[in-house]
Amino acid sequence: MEITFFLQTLINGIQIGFLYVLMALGLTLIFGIMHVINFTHGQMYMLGGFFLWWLFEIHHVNYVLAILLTVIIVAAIGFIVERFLLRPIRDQELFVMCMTIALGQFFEFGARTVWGPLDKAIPTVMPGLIKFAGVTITNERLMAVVVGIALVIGLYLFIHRTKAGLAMRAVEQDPEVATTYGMGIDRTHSLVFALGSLLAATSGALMGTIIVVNPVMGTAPMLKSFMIIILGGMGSIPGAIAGGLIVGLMDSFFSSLFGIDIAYIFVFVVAFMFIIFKPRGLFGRG
Amino acid sequence: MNPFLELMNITVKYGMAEAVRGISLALEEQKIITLIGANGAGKSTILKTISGVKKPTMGEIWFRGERIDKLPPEKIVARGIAHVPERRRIFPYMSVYDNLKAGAYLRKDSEIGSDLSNVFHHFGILKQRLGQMAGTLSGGEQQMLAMARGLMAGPSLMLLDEPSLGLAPLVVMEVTNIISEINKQGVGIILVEQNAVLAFRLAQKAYVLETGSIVLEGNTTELINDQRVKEKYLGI
Ligand SMILES: Nc1ncnc2c1ncn2[C@@H]1O[C@H](COP(=O)(O)OP(=O)(O)OP(=O)(O)O)[C@@H](O)[C@H]1O
Ligand SMILES: [Mg+2]
Repeated sequence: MEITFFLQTLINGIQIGFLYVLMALGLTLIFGIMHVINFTHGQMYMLGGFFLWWLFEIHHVNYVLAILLTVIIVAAIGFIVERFLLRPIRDQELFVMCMTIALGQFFEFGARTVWGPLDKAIPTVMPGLIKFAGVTITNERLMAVVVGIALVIGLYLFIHRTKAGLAMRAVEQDPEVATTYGMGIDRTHSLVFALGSLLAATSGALMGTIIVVNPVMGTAPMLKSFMIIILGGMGSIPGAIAGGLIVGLMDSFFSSLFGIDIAYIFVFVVAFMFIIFKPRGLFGRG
Repeated sequence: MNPFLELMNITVKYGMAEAVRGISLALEEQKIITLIGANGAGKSTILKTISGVKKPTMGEIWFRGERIDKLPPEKIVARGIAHVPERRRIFPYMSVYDNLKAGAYLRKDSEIGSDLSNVFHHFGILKQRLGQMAGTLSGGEQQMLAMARGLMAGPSLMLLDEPSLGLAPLVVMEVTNIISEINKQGVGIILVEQNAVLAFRLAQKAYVLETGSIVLEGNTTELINDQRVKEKYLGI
């Protein structure tokens, strides 16, 4: 393999990897703390893309402001979903999962009804690209990486330096004891679902900027994110980061070598292996 | 006069099964009482009911002149009741320091500093281990941390569920001394113990539980001479 080709593929893999990381972090937080397998995560990603398109392209809101509004709107949707649809059935895990499937379809076909089935392009905000040693990266993709890194750091600080983050960790490790010291489970679950949805929406908004937005855009990234958190260890934050980058690189290398279908299949084959031979993943606790 | 804490005719169920049947007990301010009884007698259930993680199906609980049995756990700990659960239950993947902060979750930031120095006064070893992952502490250290976490809530009543469980005799002595020191600072204590010798040394009053009911109660100085207690719980 030629060196520039290798470097280019590496850069692409890292870039796509960071968008997977954001998606997988949301999923793993929701699973780790709430024990919910969230099948509406892909639609939160999709809504991130659509709200950004709607605000920026249709209503000409400033791009940065539009992204901020988008993630706040989707976080609020996540909050409402947890509060009114998941909390009443919290103890019945199977019903909770079915509810997330139902919600996913509701949002997907809701978006289709409101905005139509066709691809929507978000106009380029930062035209241009950077060339270095024969490798190129567009400004938009670079921005996705920068935002990805910033959010990972921000999330780390939030979880480790704030009281709400302390409650998230405590509720994850021992919910009953956490409540006896005054950490509300309800409040923590609302926060976690809103935060997880926010991460998915950010990923979707950035991906929508790079490619296009449509109602089904979230499904494949969501299913892949499930595989990512299996690879990294369900509920593990370092696992979601490592897994997201690994899958991003696998995507990038295998699709340039063997085509995108084989690359897609490969991710799931790796997931089979982990489920059978290393079900706790790379960073899972045991 | 109202007692500091009073349980009146409390019944607690898990599903259909009654784990605690109509028990009543009282604790005066700054005193220690102990609950002893065989496995499954309902001791832990009583503590959980006081701290609010389990709700009684009948009866009332009063703390400092206020009825608390309908309050959620966060309101109960805010009123000064700290529950140190059975088998320590520290947060294993958090540092010692974060475990202590978790105990102080409802405290004001301004209070945490003095709480910490009080905790280090009792639990000197924790000071050197603040950054260590709590799950890697020894059993004795974990028990110290569980009690320290409870103390960080700034309680006037502590519920201690088998603090001596699984500890070496020397460490049991240390824990006993610490409980007594904490009590001398004015904290009331309900002590659940399998180790009745230890419990009788600390407590002024004891309640003996059998299958969810109190079968015997009295001052420890008297109960220690009771033939049934001697045979069944003190092993003499
Ligand atoms: N979560 C639960 N679900 C169903 N039954 C329970 C539960 N917890 C306790 N029990 C039952 O309630 C009864 C009292 O249990 P509890 O834990 O209060 O006893 P204990 O006196 O603390 O015993 P030990 O000395 O073994 O700790 C037991 O019969 C137990 O099986
Ligand atoms: Mg018990």
